[in-house]
Formats: sequence, structure tokens, C-alpha cells
Amino acid sequence: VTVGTRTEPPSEGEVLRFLDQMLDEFSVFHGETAIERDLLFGAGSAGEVRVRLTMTPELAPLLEGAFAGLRSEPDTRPDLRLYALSGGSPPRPPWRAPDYLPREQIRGSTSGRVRASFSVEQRILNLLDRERKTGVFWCADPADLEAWELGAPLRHLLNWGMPDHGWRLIHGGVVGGKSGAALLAGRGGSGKSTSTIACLRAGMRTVGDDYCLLGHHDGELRAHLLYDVVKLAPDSMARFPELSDHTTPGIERTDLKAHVTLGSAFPKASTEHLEVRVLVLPHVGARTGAPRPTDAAEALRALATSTLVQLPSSGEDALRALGGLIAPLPAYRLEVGEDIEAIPPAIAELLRRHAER
Amino acid sequence: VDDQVLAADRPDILDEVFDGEAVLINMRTGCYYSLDPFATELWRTLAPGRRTVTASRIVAANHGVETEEIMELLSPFVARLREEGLLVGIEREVEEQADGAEGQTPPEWSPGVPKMERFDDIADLLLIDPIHDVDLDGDGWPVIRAEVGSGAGGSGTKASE
Repeated sequence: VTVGTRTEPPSEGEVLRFLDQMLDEFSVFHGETAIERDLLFGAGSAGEVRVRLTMTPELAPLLEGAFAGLRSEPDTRPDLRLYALSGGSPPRPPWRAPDYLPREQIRGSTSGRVRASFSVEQRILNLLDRERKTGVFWCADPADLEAWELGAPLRHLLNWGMPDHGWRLIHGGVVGGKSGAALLAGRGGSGKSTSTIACLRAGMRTVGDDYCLLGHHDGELRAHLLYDVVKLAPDSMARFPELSDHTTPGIERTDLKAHVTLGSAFPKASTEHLEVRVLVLPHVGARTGAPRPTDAAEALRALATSTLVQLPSSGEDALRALGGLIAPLPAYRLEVGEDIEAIPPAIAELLRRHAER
Repeated sequence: VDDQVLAADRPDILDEVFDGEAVLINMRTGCYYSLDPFATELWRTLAPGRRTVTASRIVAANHGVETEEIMELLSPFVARLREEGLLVGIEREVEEQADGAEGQTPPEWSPGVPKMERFDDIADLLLIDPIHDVDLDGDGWPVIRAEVGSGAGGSGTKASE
């Protein structure tokens, strides 16, 4: 093969051929030692998405736990097929060195039909063909996977694949009950997880505190459970010592945050979906105060930036789509202080205020 | 006067107007921006691909003022947008009416110094390595270039901070 002076990234066809080669390379393992799970995302909503997840035996124990909150129902016609592969002798990728961009992005595959990302440090490839609804997560060595990969596994593939089924992956927590829920948005350290845990202890329900699915389904703005994990920084863990019995061991090796298993720590709080009626932007302050209304642009900044900056190659329409989802929601800033017992009543009052449509 | 045609640097720049104020995200750097209504009008006029003078003429017409008046306000703003990597040079100007930038209802705000607020709080948390030099190994897979990478910094995108 002659190395040319090509400046354009590989064509879509070349990338798709590479995806086929990846699947061929690992075909020997399919059906022999592969571990398959049929997971139901958005269960109970009109926009149910059936995902068949095929994993190597090395990856399965690392990835499965985070999906423990989802229903698993055998299905012969999945909407999305995802392969979690590791090691082996993968084929030569079609990209040249300059095609590998910062933040895991790959030139030519940041938008459109084929999405790809590569983490050079962890040696992880994510590649999805939205048309064929087939994606591959490949890592050179499962031992190199960082804690944040294990706490939110396959999030790039889900972020690229779910919008075709009416769901957006968002970075935020959701707490509430039958009469409605609050979407807690904001960057790390803003008090989201502390607020979530405080609300769960007060009897509220949740669909997750880190990532969840958000979409208009069945006539409402619905948030859906994705990962069975709540991530807490050490100072937050110190506030909730009872949670230390429910953390994933070994995670602290690479992540400063503890990963608390939601279903185990709060078995009654975890639910499949909640209707979002209000957006709350927590921020750490001296004392927990009354929620103050804020404008839509700040709400979009808080939700969209922390979501999209962490999810590369979300597509050119991603910001618009997130804006459209949260546009009808009233938004509030909530100062959260050491008096965490004041957080649940403040959020409950907001939910009461906005319970009527 | 810089007569280069400039446009939003797609697909790395995401933008959305919400309640009359644009939010921009630079996906390369992780920085994001909030624009006031006048800056938003300027951004919307420039983003599809225009010369500064063309954009000034369109905006001036919207407000019923002289083109030169807008040019004076627009030029430093354009320089800042370029510094932030939000606008890049392209070859051809967009058709004037292709994006509906002209002929809109007159804006409620008056031209003034356009305001753009920059936020880097997310970028700081993300271990973003702007250099990110890679080589390909013998099998064609990317590895961090030894002399640059040396294990420092990071190119990872943490799932959540």
C-alpha cells in the first residue's frame, strides 16, 4: 500500500469496511464464549429500545453491573446491536495520525451516520453505524479501563445511537415521584449527587444521578434509568457513611469518587422512569436556600455544557436537541449548604408548585 | 479591513439561541460562551459564512444605521471570535438570503458593544490535552507520541466529574 499525501479523513465507506473487519475478526468468539444480554432501555415507554449487548468474558463482569437496573428480556430483533470487545488482533484502522483529534474525537466521524472516538490513553475505540444500528466498543486491555468507563459503560455508543429512538443521553440526576420530578443539572462539584442522596433518604425516587435518558414520550418529558450508579466525592461520602457498604470495591484506584450501587443502597428509590417538570441547578453555598428562578439560557448552559463536553461527537444538532427538550421547563438555582436536610423540602416545594400542567 | 470570508468552525462549534441569547460550545477546547442579544445577532449573521463587511451591511440594515457604525463594533468582536477558534476562514460567502439573516423583524435591542462571556469551568475539569500528538504503531493503531506525551497530561474525556 502506498502511503499517499491524503489530507482528507477516510471516506464513510472505508470506515464502514473497518467496522465489518472488526466484527469479522471477533466472529470466532461470537456464539462460543460470548456473553449476550438483551437489555430494554426506556422500558415502559412508547420509545422502548431493545439492545443486544455481546461481550467478551473479560469485559462482561466489568460492564454488566452498571446496567443492573434495566430489564433484560430475550429478543430476536434488537433495535441496536452493541459489541464490547477486548484484546485480540484487531484490523488496521483507516485513520492517519492527524485524524485523531483532542478529546477522543476522530476527524470525519464527529457527526452524521458513522461516529467514532478513540481514547489514546486507555486504547478504547468506539464505533457506531447508525444506519445498520451496530456499534463496537473495543479496548486493548480491560485492566486499563478507568473507573469512569466502568461507572458509565458504553456511553459514547448509547449517546450516538439513542437519539434515533427519541432519547438523549444527558448528564444530570433526576429525583421526584409520581407527581413529577426535578432534573438536577450542572458541572461536577455543584452539589448534584449530594442533593440526589439527600432526596432519596427523604423518600423520593430516582432514575439515576449521573447520566440518564431524556425524551418526549407518552405525552410527557420523561427521564429514564440508565446506570445503576451514584458517584460521590469523598466529602459527600463522609456525610453518608451508611453508603460505604454499597460501593463498588477497587474503584477508588482510578477515580476520586466512590461508585455507590443505587439498587443496593436504595432498593425502593430506583425506578424506571419519571416525568420531569422542573430543572434545578444546584450550587454549593453556605446554607441551603429557597430556589430562585433563573433564565432559560443559564439552564441550557448548565445542562448542555456538562453533557456535551463530556460526550464527544454528539453531532451538530445536539445542542439544539437538548435546548428543545428543556425549553418548556421552569428553571431554578438552588444553593445547597451543609444543612442537607433542607434540600428535599426545597425540591418537594418546587414539584408541588409545578405539579399541575 | 479584513475581507476574508468567515464561518462557524463546524462541526466543532455547536450553537443554539435560547430566549434570544446564543450559547456556543467549542467541542475542541471544552470552553463555552454566552452571548447577549446583539452579539447573538452578529453571530447568527456571521456563522453561515460571510465577510465582516457583508455582515455589517446586513445588521446595519436591520437597525437602520450606517454600515460603518456596525463595522466598528463588529471588527473587534470578530477578532475575539477568531482568537477563541469559533470562526474560521472559508472560501465562499453564503448566499445573502440563504439563511434568512436578512429581512427579519427589526430587533428590539440597539447596537452597542457586543458582549460575550467565556466559561472554562468544564474544560478545566476534563483533563483536556490540546496538544494530543499521536503516532501510529506498527499495526496502525494510535499511541501517544513518546517525546511529547511522556505520560503527562491526558487526552481522556472523563465520563463525569
